Amino acid sequence: MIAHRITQNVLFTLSFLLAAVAIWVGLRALVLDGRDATAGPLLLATGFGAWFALAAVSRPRRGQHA
Amino acid sequence: MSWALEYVALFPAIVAVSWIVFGCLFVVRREWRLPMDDGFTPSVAVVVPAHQEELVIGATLEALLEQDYPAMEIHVVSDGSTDRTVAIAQTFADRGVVVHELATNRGKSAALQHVLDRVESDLFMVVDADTRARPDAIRTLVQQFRDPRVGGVTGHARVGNVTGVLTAVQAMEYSVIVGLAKRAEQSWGGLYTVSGAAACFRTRALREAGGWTVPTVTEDIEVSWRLQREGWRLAYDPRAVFFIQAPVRLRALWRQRRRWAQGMVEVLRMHWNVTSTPNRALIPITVQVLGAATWLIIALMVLSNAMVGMLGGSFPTDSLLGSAHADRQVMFLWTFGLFGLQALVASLFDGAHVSDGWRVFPLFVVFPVYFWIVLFPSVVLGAARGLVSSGSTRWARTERAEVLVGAPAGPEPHVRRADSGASA
Repeated sequence: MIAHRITQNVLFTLSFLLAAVAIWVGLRALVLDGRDATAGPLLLATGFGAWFALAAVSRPRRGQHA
Repeated sequence: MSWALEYVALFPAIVAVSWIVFGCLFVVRREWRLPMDDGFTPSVAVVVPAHQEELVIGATLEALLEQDYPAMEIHVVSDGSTDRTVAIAQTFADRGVVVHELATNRGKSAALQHVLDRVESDLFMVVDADTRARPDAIRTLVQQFRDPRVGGVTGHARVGNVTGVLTAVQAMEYSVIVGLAKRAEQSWGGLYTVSGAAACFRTRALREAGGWTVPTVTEDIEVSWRLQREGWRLAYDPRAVFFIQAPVRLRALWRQRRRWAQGMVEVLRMHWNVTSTPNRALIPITVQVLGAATWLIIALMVLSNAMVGMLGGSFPTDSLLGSAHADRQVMFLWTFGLFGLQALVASLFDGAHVSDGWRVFPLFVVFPVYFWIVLFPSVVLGAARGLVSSGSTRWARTERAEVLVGAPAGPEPHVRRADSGASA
């Protein structure tokens, strides 16, 4: 049970890090490679979308401690 | 060093964009729909821990007694005060204020635990002795506890003693950084920390999590992480406004920020293994904190590199901006511009709850100076201390003044200051 939870949470942590990297690369492309009109914003949006989706499924479950 | 420069320049920009995006999401999805039911009145024990607070305790108690909330009891716990704190608090005894007097100074956590062991209320609220609550603050704050998953709620802390440039910049910082960060973190499902100056907890949650028993210099951050690791939610209610005192002098501010940074590192050391918790809300917050810690280390590397250049007799333009100066300058300009946007958005959000929401907005232009001169060195030193410290419960010393501009008790015609004990 604990091992399962840790595995899940490690995967979540790595996913958050991946989303952060996408935001980083996206913003970097937007700032430094301004001529590329699509890659930066697309990566930024993907990173933020992924972060939001991950946060949405990370919250405490309904009924916990109720 | 180009990757290091890019990280130093762009990490704050990423944080700014994240806080704007997720702060807006919180406002639209939660802040505009926050509950308010005057029939919901769980019992609240409001606890004011105090150590040498004779200058401010009277006004704080007056503000608490003016609350429009029917089910509350007020406790003052003097932790080894040798001034007139107890005498002043006892003049409020006939209005229902309970005064606890601890003979020796054991620290804020011990003072809070002393009262936690003795109350039977549904909720346990901590209000610092220099913090003045707006009359509707407690009634507003308790609304979040209608959700049985919520274990703690923090209110909207605003600097109430804007009497000079230093306090004005801190007022901007509380609004633009602290307030917006809390909104964004709420979108992720958690909170990095409740405000130690004004936070309310479900008494059962506090007791189940172990109460105020962990030795640390920032008990508010530690208890926030402990409650969330136990599976409880923390909430932020920007409608519940509390006016706090910011340090007036540079030295006091330096000590406060050093202590906060030390507390952050101590908490990371205590709760490093967030992967074992059933509540994953701490994971994005941990990722953000680690990103900031990495930024701190890399910024130190860049600055060290520049200083070596200076010792060599040349101005370290390459070290600070990289060899392709134009590109690097663009990055820093983007970051500054995004911080300005962050200040605009945060002021807009706060303006919905306070009349002076816009007052400190223009000060974002001086924030880089304030950051590099005051915050950066104090945070570096505090973080280093946090790596080797073994925890402490002693009261930190913070400057107190009687005046809280904009606070409900009203400003006094003069300012008196004294070194007094307080923990943020």
